[in-house]
Amino acid sequence: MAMTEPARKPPVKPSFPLGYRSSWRGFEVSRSSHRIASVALGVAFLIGAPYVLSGYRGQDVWSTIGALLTMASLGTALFLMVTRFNLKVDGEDEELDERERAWRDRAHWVAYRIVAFTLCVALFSLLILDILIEGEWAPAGKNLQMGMLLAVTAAYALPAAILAWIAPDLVPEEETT
Amino acid sequence: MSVEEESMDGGLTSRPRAIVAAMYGSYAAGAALHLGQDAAGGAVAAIAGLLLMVAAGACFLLLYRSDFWRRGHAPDAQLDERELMLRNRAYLAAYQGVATLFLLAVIYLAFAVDFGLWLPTTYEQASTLVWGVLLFTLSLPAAVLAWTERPVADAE
Repeated sequence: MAMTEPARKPPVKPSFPLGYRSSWRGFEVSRSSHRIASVALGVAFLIGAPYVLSGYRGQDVWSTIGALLTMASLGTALFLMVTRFNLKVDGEDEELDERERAWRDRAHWVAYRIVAFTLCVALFSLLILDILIEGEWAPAGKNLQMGMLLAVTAAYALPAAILAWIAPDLVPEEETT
Repeated sequence: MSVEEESMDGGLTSRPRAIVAAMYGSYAAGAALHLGQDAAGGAVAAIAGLLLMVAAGACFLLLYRSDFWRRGHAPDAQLDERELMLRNRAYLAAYQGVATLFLLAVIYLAFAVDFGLWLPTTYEQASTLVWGVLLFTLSLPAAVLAWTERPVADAE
């Protein structure tokens, strides 16, 4: 009797110049660790970002703490960007099955609403603040540079954090522990 | 879509891409004319810029009253499975677009601060940019839906 060979998935075409996605699946982090890191990132960002935007100089304890929190949130965000969750959320269509694609798209739906709301509140606040204090519009500088960098890093880490939160069974626990 | 809904749609269903392109294009052109009014001819350029931005606002209203906006912003319970899939996919594209825009802004900001390139320094300049970002961010998911959806005649 002829044995039928089990169907194999077609090889994934690398979507990155180095093709790392075909062999590397990201750092293995458990769901709970990813969630804790995401919350820590959010807290550190919310406390640290105002210090950055207000022009910290590292001359007192609180400014130093703010600077350290900012660095910590940057580091955490960069780490979260290379976990398995993030590679799932950043995956191309052909790398994911139907269910994974649905979760990936849903995570971006949630992330977009958060980012759009935050952006609208922040921009309106800046405009209204400028009218109220009748000051000159002078947001440009190293502080704004750093603040924008923080915001972009957080924006890139956000969908993976949401995926870790809303799709707990996407990566089976036994694979991540 | 009922006849009444179609009339409220402002004809967007038949030419969604044109409306989306007009919205973003006229705002970008209007902002450029308004911000660069000194170089582009003074008051005439400023008024033309404002008119173009008002036209962009009108296109935004058309999009806002369309079915694309409803499907882009409706809660899950009001959408069927296919609409949910299309909506979430549109948000994926929109998120990638906004994140890329932010990244480009950060890169430009880094060079602008260090090399003295143009940055908004007055309230008017900042306001023009802020309203542009708001228009882009609020309308992008519905605009992606409008851009990617095929007209019914094509689909059949």
